[in-house]
Amino acid sequence: MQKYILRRLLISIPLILAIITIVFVMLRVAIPGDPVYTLAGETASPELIEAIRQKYGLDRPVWEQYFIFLGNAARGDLGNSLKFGEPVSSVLAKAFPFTVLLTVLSVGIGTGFGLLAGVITAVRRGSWIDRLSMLIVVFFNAFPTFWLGLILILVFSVGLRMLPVEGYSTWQHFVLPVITLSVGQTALIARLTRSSLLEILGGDYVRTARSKGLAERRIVLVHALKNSLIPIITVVGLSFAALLGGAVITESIFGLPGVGRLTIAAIADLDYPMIQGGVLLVAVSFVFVNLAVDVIYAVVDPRIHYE
Amino acid sequence: MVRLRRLFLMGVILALALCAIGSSVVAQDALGTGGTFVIADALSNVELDPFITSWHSWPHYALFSTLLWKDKELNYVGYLAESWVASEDGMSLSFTLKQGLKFSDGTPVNAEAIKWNLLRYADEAVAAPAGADLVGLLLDVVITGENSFDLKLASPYAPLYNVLASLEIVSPTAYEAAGAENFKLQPVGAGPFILKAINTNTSYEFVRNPDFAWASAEIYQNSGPVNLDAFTIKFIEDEQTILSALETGEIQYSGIPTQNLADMQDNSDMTLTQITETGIRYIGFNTSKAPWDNVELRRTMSYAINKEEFAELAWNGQAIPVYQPLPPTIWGHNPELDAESIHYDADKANSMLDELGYADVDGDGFREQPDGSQWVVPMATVNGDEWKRQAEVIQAQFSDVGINIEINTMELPALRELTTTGTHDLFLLLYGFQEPSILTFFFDSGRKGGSNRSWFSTDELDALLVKADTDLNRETRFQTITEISRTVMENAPWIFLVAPNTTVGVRNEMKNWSFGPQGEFYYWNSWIEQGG
Repeated sequence: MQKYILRRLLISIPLILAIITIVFVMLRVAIPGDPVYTLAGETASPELIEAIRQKYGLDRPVWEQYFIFLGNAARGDLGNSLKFGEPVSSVLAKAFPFTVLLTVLSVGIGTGFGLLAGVITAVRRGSWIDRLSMLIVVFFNAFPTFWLGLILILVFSVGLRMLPVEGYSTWQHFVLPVITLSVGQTALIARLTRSSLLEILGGDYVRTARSKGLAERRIVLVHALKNSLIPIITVVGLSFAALLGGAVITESIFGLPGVGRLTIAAIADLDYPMIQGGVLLVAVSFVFVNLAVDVIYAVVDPRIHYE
Repeated sequence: MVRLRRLFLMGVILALALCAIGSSVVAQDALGTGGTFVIADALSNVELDPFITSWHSWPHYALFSTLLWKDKELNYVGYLAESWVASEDGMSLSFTLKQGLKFSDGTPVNAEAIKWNLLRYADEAVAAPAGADLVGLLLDVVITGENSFDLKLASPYAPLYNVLASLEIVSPTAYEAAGAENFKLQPVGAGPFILKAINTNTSYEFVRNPDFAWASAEIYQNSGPVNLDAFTIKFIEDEQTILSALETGEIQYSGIPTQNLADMQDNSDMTLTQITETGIRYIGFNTSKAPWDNVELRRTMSYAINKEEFAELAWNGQAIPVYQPLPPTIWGHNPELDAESIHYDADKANSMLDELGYADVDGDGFREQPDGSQWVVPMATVNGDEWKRQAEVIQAQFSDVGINIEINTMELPALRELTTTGTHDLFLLLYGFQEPSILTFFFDSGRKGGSNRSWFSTDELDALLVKADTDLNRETRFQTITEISRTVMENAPWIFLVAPNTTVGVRNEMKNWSFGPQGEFYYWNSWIEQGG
C-alpha cells in the first residue's frame, strides 16, 4: 500500500505540471485580454501601458515567463498577485481554510443526511416515506445553488433576522452557506445510497443472512450498507475535490473569502499569477483526494488490493 | 405696573436671545460620535499603494489626503493646502500648506514630503497610473519654506488642479521604510482614517485618525477628527446580497439596482438619494477601419438611436439622455449644444442609409453592403447583465432601420485590449471622470492605440485639445471645450447614449451625511446612532 501511494504521488507530478503548463500558455496565448489594461487604467497612454507591461515582466516571451515561473514555483514562490500585490501563496493560504471548512461541513452534513435518507427509503421501498422522501430529494436537487442561497438569505436573514447575511467571523455566518451546499449533496447521496443499497439488499447473501435470523437492522447497517459504499465513496470524493476548488457561487453570495471566489475574481481581472496558483491548488487537491478515495476503497472493501 | 411689564418683557427678550445663542452652540456640540460605518464595494478591492493602483476609491480617500479638493460648487479648495497662487504664464504654482499637518506615523506633512510625492508621481520609471499627467509636465518642486513650495511646469496645464485634487500624498518615511513592495500592506497617509486590517479579498478595516484636523472647512463643519469610530469596506460582489445586508443594517450605504428600486422605496429604514454619474455610456466607432472611416455613415447610424427609449428600456428610466460628450455633471458641459446634436430620426436614418448604398436587397429585413455582400456589424461590449440589457436595446433599435448588429461580450480587459489593436468595429462602453480633460484621453491623436479607442483625431481637434488643456482662464476654456464637443458631435466617432442615475440607499441610523455635486459621499462628520 505504501509503495502504491508513493507511486501515485510520483505519477501526479507530471500530471500537475501538464495542467499548469496548459493553463499558463492558454492564459497568455488563447484567452483574449491583457491584464496590463486593468493595471494601467482607463486613461492610460500607450507609453504608460508599455511601461507597466515591462514592470510586471509581461513583455518577455511566453517561454521565458514560463521558465521563470517554473523556477520560482519549485522554490515555493508562485509570484505576486497582480491585483493584490501580495504573494499568491500567502493569499491562497488565507483563503484555503475557509474553503476547507465549508467543504468539510457541507460534504459531511450532506453525506450524513444523505446516507440516512437513502437507507430509510431503501428499507421502506414503495412506502409513502419512500415516495415522499424521493420527491423531496428530487425537489431540492433541482434548486440552483445561487437561488437557494438567496432564498435562505431572504427568509432567515432579512425576514426572520435569525442569521447574518454575509461574513465569516462567527459560526452563525456558516449556517446558511453550509445548508446551501449540503442540500444538493444530501439529495445526491440519498439517491445513490438508495439505489446502491437496493441492489445489495436483493443479493443472495442478504437472503441467506435473513434466513439465518439476523436482525434486519444489522443486515442493513453492518452488511449491506458497507457493501454499497464504493460508489458513494467515489461520489463523495468527487464532491469533496470539486468543492475544494471553491464553491464559487456560494462563496460570492455569502461573502466568504474562499478559493473559488478568489479564483473567479482573478479570472475577471486576468490576474495571471493568481489564476495559476488557484489552478495549481485545485489540481493538487484533486490528486490527494483521489488518492485518499482509493485508499478508503481498500479499507472498506478487503477484496481490493494495490500492488 | 408698566415698569414691571417692561421688565418682564425685557426678561423674555433676554431669555429668548440666550436660547438662540445657546441653541446654536448646542447645535454645534450636538454632532454625535461613534459607530462603525460599513459599506459594500467590490470595486474597492484594489491595492492601497496610490502609486500602483489605477483605481482610486473609498479606501484611498480614507487613508490619504490630497493637496486640493472640490467644494459643492466644483470650485477647488484647499485640503492639505492653505493657499496657492499661479504665475501669470501658468508655468509656476506656489503653495502654502496648512499648519500642523502630520502623517499617521507622526512625521510632518511638509514641503519636503509633498515634493517627494509629486516627483515620484511624475517619475516615468515609477509608471504610476495616477501620475501620468505629471510625466513631462512637472519639471521640479522648489522648496521655499518649511511648508511652502513652488511647482515648476513645462507648460500651463488647466487640468492640473484636478490632478492635484486626486494625487494621494503618502508618508515618504513610511514608504521608504516599507519599500515599494510592502507599502501597500502597511500604508501611511494623512487622511481621516488609519488602516486597521487588510482581509485579503474580503474587506478593509479602518479606525479614526485621532490627529486628523484638516478637512476642508468649505465642506465639513468639523475639520476633524471624524465623528465615526471606524469604517469598514466589504468586497461583496452579489447585488442581492448587498441589498439584503443593507436591509438588515449590516451595511449602512449601498447603490440600489434599478430593478430593486420599487421595493426599497417602501423601506422606511433608509433614505434614498438619486445622483447622476460623472460619465456616460456610449457607442464608439473604430474610425480607422472601413466603413467606419465614413463620417456620413457614422452620423447616419447616430440618427437610428432613440436615447429616450434607451434610457427607459435599458435603465428603467434611471438615466439622462446625453447629446454631447460631457454629461451635465462635468464642468464644460454646455446645455446649448444639445440642440445642435443629432437627435433620433429613424426616417432620416433610413433615407441616408439608402443614399449611402446600404439597401435590403434580399428582403430579410437587414441591409446589405453597397457591394451586395451581407452586412453584419460586430459590437463588442462587457460581460454582465447591465451591458447585456443595453446591447440588446441598441441591437433592436438598429434592427428597426435594417442594421444587423452582432453582440460580442467579453471581459473588460479583453475589450480594452481589443480597442488598442484597431481591428474592432463598434464597441459599447462607458467612462467616468470629473474633468473635461477626459476628452484629450479619448480624442487626442497621440492616444490612438491607448485610450483613444475610436482611433479618431483631426488636426483641428488636436489643436483645440491643447488649447483647452493649457488655458487657465475658466471662461475661455469653457468656450474651447464647447468647440471640442461640437467637433466631436459633428464627426460622430461616438454615439452618446445616457448618463445613468444611481440611487443610493443610506440607513437612517447614520446621521449627518450629504452628497457632493459629483456623487461624493460626505460622511466624515457622520455617526451611527446606536439602537437604530
